[in-house]
Amino acid sequence: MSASTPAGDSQFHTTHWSLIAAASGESDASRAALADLCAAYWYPIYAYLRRRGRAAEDARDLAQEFFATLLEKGYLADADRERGRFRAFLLTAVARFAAKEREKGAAQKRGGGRASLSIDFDDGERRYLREPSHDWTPERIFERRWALTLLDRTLAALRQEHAAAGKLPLFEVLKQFLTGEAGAPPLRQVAESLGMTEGALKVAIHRLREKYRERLRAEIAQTVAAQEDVDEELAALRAALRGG
Amino acid sequence: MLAVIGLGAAEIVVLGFLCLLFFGLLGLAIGGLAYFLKQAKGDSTPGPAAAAPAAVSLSQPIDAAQSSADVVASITKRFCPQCRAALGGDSPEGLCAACLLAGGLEAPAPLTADGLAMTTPPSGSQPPVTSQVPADLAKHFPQLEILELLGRGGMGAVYKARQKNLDRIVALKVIPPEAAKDPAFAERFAREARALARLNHANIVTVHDFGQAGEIYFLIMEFVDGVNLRQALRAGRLSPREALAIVPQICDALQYAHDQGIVHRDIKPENVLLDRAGRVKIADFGLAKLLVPGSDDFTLTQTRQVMGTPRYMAPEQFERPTEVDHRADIYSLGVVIYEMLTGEMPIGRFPLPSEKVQIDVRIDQVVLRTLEKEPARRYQRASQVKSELASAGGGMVSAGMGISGSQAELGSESVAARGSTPPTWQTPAPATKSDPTLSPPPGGVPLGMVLGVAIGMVLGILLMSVGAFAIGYAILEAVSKQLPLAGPFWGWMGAGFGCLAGGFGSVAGSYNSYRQMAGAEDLLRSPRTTWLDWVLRGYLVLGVVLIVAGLWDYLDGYGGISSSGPLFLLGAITCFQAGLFLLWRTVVVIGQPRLAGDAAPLDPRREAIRRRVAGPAIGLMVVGLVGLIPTLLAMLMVPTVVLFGPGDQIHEGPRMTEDMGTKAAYLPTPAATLAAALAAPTFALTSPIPFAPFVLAQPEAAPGMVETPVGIAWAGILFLVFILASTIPAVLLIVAGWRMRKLRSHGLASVAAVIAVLPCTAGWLLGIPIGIWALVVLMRPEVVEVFES
Repeated sequence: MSASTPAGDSQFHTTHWSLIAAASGESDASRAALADLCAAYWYPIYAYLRRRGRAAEDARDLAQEFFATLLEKGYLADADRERGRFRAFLLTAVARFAAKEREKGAAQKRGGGRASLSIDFDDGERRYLREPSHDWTPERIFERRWALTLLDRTLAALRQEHAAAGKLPLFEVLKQFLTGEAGAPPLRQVAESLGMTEGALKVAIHRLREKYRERLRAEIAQTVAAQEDVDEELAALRAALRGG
Repeated sequence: MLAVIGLGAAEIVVLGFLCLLFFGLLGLAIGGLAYFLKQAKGDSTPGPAAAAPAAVSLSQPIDAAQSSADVVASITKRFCPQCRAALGGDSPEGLCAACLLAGGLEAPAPLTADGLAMTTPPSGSQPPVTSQVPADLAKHFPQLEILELLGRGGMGAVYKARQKNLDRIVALKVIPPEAAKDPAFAERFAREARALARLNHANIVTVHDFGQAGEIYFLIMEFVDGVNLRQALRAGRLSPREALAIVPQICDALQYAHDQGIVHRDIKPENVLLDRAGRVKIADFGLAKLLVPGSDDFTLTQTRQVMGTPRYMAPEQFERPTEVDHRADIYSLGVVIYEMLTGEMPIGRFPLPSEKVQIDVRIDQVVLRTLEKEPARRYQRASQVKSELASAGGGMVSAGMGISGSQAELGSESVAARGSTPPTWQTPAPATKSDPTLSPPPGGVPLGMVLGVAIGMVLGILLMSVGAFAIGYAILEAVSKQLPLAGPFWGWMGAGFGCLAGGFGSVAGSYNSYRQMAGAEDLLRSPRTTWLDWVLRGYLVLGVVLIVAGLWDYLDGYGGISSSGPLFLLGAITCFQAGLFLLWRTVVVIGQPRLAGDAAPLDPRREAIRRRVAGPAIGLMVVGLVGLIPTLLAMLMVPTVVLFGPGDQIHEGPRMTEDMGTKAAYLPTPAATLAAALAAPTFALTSPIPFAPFVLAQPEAAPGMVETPVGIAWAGILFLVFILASTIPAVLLIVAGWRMRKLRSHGLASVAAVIAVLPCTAGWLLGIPIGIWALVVLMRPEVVEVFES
């Protein structure tokens, strides 16, 4: 999934999702941007629906339907966008949507080829089957998946950037320092293997970390209402990953 | 008829017993030959099962230590090196998601392992120690830079710290203040910590330092960069291969500590640390004991809180906490192995591991044996668990693998002894080295001990040669009519058998000591030595003393060889008995683990076969017991001989009348001897030792000697012949029957069945049908299979 993620420079001038949503009725460009955002975060939705007890086929239809409705009907325009986080909004929306669909009756054929997003659901199902089988709630799965998707997107963008600059091998070696030095080989050894001085290596690591932080924060910023909320969302996601 | 050709009654009796002796030895020879043939066949033609695992092992890495470390390291690599949280297969770029998110903070905070501790306390085991936080601690430890809290548990809080002067990372363990309240704590702490600091093993967390800082008792230990087994288990099930890669290292650590006389007492997943290089390290050795106050001043709840973790504790740790020894660790190890394999605790009527995961059923046997309620029925040494798992471990490749007979019957010993590769990814090399049943570990046994054993063996063999010579001399002399069947002959025979039995006892005792020493630094601390061994050794020494006394008596010249005979004989019986029991201890009790494991109590097929085998097995034992009756009677002749005096005369003993309470004792013909023996049945239950004083108190010139050359001579001959012709096969029948009931020793049981049929023992008429029955049952293929699996 990450390979197909649009990770261009456009993400650097952060556009909060609420702005996109508001504009989605007006321009095709912002509509496409919103579709991209949904496409990026579809898997958490899918995992959520599966964990709610939907069968694979059912969850696939429901997710398709949900995104289609979301994008077509300007569902987003109704959202309380000012304070909301995209994550929380999507979760509430999909829960409501699933409940409504259930009322309508499962017998009714949904979707009918309204594939508004190109999503590889088979891949999604494969991933879902690898989910740990502990008794996590659907919400917990959703949040965890959300966080992981976010990180996947950030790292994919970072990787692509390095690849474009022909520095992929450097990235491969240095990425382990993104989480800290523990467990990594000694700096001197790494520097030797890369043919750098230790000082240069330290600078490179520092730069990578800076770049990573910027990208991660930009990625998060897309999904919150305001720049100030980024730290809060970060903390919330950390809690989601670690919590009981 | 024989009398017609000029043989008297005496000669006919001799011939009869010689025939018995002949048949007895013949039976032994035939049975032994059959057994060795069977063994040889098993060796030369390995079955398909033996070949299959060999093929498996070829495709596996050869260096087991390396392989084990790799497997363990692969477990540790599933955790973030930074925060020790489990890494899922979906971690972005293989990095820890939580730590990645932390990297997005504007000012990255130092990463702390909140809630992700190295030693996570079992829930609710101990109120958290909140009075000490790193900030408070720092002033007590100026030499340390305290970095973070690694965890808290019943044994106190553990902090990661940097030792400033050495610039190394250490773990600082602070003993909970509640535990240190006991006034005797300081002394106990110092004593235990010194013992712990002496433990120097790759698989044990090293104690660098210990002491008291202000009110705080602390230990500074090696820092293990990795996770504990509890965390690994929480993060997801271990594969059987992974679980079984961890166990040998735990066994090594336990065996080492047990050899040092240190028992862990609290083996549980929290105390098993896995480092990033794939080493397994056991933490908190002996701390449970340290934190247990004297046995009289603590309540049960306190005990449970500080002393161990109930779910992992051996039954005797609850029931007899003061008698806990190293075998409690072996039980706890069993619980840990069971949990690693199945993810569950072995509580109540628990399923066998092989019912939950794909492993060889032989691993079930090993696990069940470590979980025996009775310590005596468990493995007695941690190294045995390792070697048994090594020989069974390869089986996890295929659970339903058929097991070729000879291989399983001979167990790990044969595998190691033949140097063949056991069917596992573990190499035979470490198993062989540490297998206590084979050889002492290099450098493990002091030279003096080895020399002592060697001298004992050599002396024993020499003594046996001398004995055989003396017997041969006496018989030759008697046959050529140089020596009348009277005092001197009796004396020579006694001396001969005394030396023979003394030599046998010496060899058996040395063998026993050798086997027990293997793996231990010295005999006194050998974990396998029990009080019974010491009693038997003492008994053996007593027998040797008697023989030496006889020799002294002889050399002293008093009464010639005929007067020393009884002393020799008493010594002979004593040594013989001690030797037999020592052999039994060595082969049956100590050697037990190398035989196929105990029957799984839950295997219905095995139970059915066991019921089927029970009949003939008990029959064999009965035949053996009947065969022992003449032995007992023969033994009873000793008091007769002793009381009637040596040589060709007896004395009228008023003491006789009082002691034996029968007039028959005055007529020492063979019949009278037997009658006297029967009149004193209590003697049957005693050893010859009580009679030693009578011999020593022999009056120099007893009044009223009566000439009865034939009676004494026959008593002696009867005794000797009975001992040989009947005792050995009878004892063999009993032992074989006993082991057959437990589905062990198929070869021995077959030999016993043959012996039962042959006229070797007094019970042979009874033995003919029972022996045939036993043979028929033993030859059934399904029985053979159960015996050997």
